Amino acid sequence: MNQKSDHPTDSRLRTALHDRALAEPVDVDRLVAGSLTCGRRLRARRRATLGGSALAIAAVAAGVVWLVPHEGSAEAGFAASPTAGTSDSPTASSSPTATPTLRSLQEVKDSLDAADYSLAIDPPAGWSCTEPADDKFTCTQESTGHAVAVTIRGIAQHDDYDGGDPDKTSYLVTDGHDGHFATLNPYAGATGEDVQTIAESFTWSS
Amino acid sequence: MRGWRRPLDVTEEFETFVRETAPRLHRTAWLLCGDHHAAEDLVQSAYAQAFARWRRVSRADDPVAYTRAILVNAFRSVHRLKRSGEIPTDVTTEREARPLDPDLRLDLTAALAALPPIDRSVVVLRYWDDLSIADTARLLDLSESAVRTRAHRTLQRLRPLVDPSYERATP
Repeated sequence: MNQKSDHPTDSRLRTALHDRALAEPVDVDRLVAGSLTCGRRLRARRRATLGGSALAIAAVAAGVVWLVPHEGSAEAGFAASPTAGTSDSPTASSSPTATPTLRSLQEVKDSLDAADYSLAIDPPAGWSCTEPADDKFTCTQESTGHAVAVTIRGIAQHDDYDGGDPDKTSYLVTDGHDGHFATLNPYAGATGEDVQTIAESFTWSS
Repeated sequence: MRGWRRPLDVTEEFETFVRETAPRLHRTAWLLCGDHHAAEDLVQSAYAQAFARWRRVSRADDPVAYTRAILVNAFRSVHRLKRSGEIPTDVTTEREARPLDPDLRLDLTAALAALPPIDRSVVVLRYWDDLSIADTARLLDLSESAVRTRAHRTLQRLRPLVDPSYERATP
């Protein structure tokens, strides 16, 4: 597999890199624990996402905006957008996805730790967003597969994520809204522009 | 009972995998990032993704290569973002290519950090992970000639750090 070069500088660089790298300490126990914790979370999120993705895609196709309501709100976790659930839209009443979307909302509400916030997302054209699993969801650009993961957090953590804690990094941290904020991270080749696009699709209401 | 035991087996298998491969992959991440904590975050993120799709990873021809690919892709995504989005992050430290500062001559890691991320990736994959030009090209989505060119150019830049004869030859 390795193609050793004849040039002596190659082998010197190889040796120098190995010498330096081997001096770098590795905390394997910490990596195992951290990887398992994050991996389990990812796996759970993935299962939840897979379970709801068909529904979410159908909802997005119908122009549905999902909405996480205030705790105790009369509405369950998602609400139809004007194009899906109100008379503003000529196509709304015929949307075949309205019922299953609304049915899924209670599950969303049940899964949210902090339900006393309201965030509506109108996915940009070509993007679809999954239902939240816990307080997280993912938006995916259908043409490229670029993905942006969004996590809703309590405002108490805002300063930590906004540069205060080097262990808590995110590519984009929104402002606080009614005691909450969102962190956005790119996956699958997503760019900063993708992250910005998704962030700009948020509408917070208090 | 079987359904209950299965995840435990997967966890044990994954843990064994991490213990066997973490020293190598962490150091790959460290050479890429130039920072211990950023490297730890990067490699942990890669392992977490590997765990989330462990069935597929474990069945791959080379699970280490699979996980390394996740890691390198994550590293490159960070830098693509930084370049295009101007969104601050402290995951890695990117600097524009510039002539080596004399003060950095004895510090190979600082010199690596001064390289453009793609050149740094080429060096790390070729000379630390010992990947072939073809494998490096595939992983970085470059042509083989591009890998050769970047490796050559980078070697020229790093040569003063690793080649004692260079000082004598170039007063």
